[in-house]
Amino acid sequence: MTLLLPGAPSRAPPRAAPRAPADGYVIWHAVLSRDLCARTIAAIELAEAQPGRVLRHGAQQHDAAMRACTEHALTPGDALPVAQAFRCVARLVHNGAPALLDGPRFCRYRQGGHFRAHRDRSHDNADSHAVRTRRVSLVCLLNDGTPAFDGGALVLYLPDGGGRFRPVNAPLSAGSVIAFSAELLHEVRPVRQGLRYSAVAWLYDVPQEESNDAEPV
Amino acid sequence: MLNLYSDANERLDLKVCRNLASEFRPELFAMLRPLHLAHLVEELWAPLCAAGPTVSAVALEERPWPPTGVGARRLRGFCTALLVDGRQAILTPHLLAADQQSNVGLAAALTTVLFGQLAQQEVREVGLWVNGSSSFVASLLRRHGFAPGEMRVVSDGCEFVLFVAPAETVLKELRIAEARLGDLLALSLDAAAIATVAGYHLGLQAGIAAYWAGQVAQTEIYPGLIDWAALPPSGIGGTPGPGLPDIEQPIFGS
Repeated sequence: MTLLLPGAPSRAPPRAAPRAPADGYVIWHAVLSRDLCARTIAAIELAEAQPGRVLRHGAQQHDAAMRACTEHALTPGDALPVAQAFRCVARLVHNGAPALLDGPRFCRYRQGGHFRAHRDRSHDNADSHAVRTRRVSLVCLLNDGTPAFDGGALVLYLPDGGGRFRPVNAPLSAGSVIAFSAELLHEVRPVRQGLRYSAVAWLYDVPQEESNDAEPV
Repeated sequence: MLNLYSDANERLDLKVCRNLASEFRPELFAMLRPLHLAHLVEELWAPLCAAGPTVSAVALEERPWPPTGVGARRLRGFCTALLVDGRQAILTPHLLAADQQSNVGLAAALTTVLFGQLAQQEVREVGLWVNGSSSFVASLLRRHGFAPGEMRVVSDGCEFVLFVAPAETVLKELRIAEARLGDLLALSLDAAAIATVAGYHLGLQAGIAAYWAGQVAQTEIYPGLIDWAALPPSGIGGTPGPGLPDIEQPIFGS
């Protein structure tokens, strides 16, 4: 899979086919309407919640110092609008070998909630194929003004080519979808006030044995 | 409208702590060294934090990875209050890192966080030691709800008067009582509020600059080092004294 365009610019709802670079990102605004965002948030509030976990050497662990949020299991019907938004964006950023979409997962960050810097793609053989072959990470922010939250910036650490990283705050609003390389270091800064809702998904390589049967994005 | 510091401010973590000098000792040295003020860790903040209960609001920049260990946090600014008699807090104006000197949004956010913590501890009044000869800072403080109180101290040959105000009033006068921290950090305020906030915080910064430079006689603000409740009493208890003599009869001329 090749990811082409230089990152950074914010874009209108998907029409053309911009592609994120290997170390960059692209944002599409208003991929999901505010009404659908509100409905998804309502579904998150009703759905079963469990503390967000992190993956270490093949095992899911609770580590509140690393990640403090809850994950919510939505019904396929409630998750459908976000899943469709992700698929729509995935087709625009992906032009390589067949890939599958893992997600969406729905997260809620309370005051103090955060996800310290991490990369979504693992290089640990103990982790699953889907995690080891993640190519693109997708994040959809579901709220900004109503309900409001303060803090909780999604920060991407872009390599500058000289061995240094440049932190960039992703300028997201409710309904925006950002696509970035799954190799990119990124984090969610602590929420200062309110609740931050988001959905995440990843594009990963179709496993060899499934490549003939899988329905790629 | 974004300002010079908006993006970096948005990534800051704002916290409160009870003992700045011990909880953030290496970060304090690292922040103060470029300002040529590292000696103040030992001369000011360590004794201040050891002398009585204090509360500090701190702004931290955290490195992405690893999140712990030496160098994991960088202090970008802080302000401190000495708690006195359970009802007043004597402030030491904010200090910002060398590259943050005009970061008014950060200064305002630190003030808000500090006052918010004081309110949680039911400390309603804040005070600043102001040089008795000050016109600049005295008028600045009067404009933001402060008034000179009864408490006075003499240090380094100068008399300092405690200017006191309800913390809530100060935030209202600064027009930031209802502002979100994110808006303060980004200075997403109307122009008049930005001017007010900037005037207050840069005024305090200028007012205490002589103290930081070691010129105490010229400082308009003395740091909140002196706990007035621990000062010596004013004299000793007296007695009613001897009874008054009978009123002398008037003397009439013959």
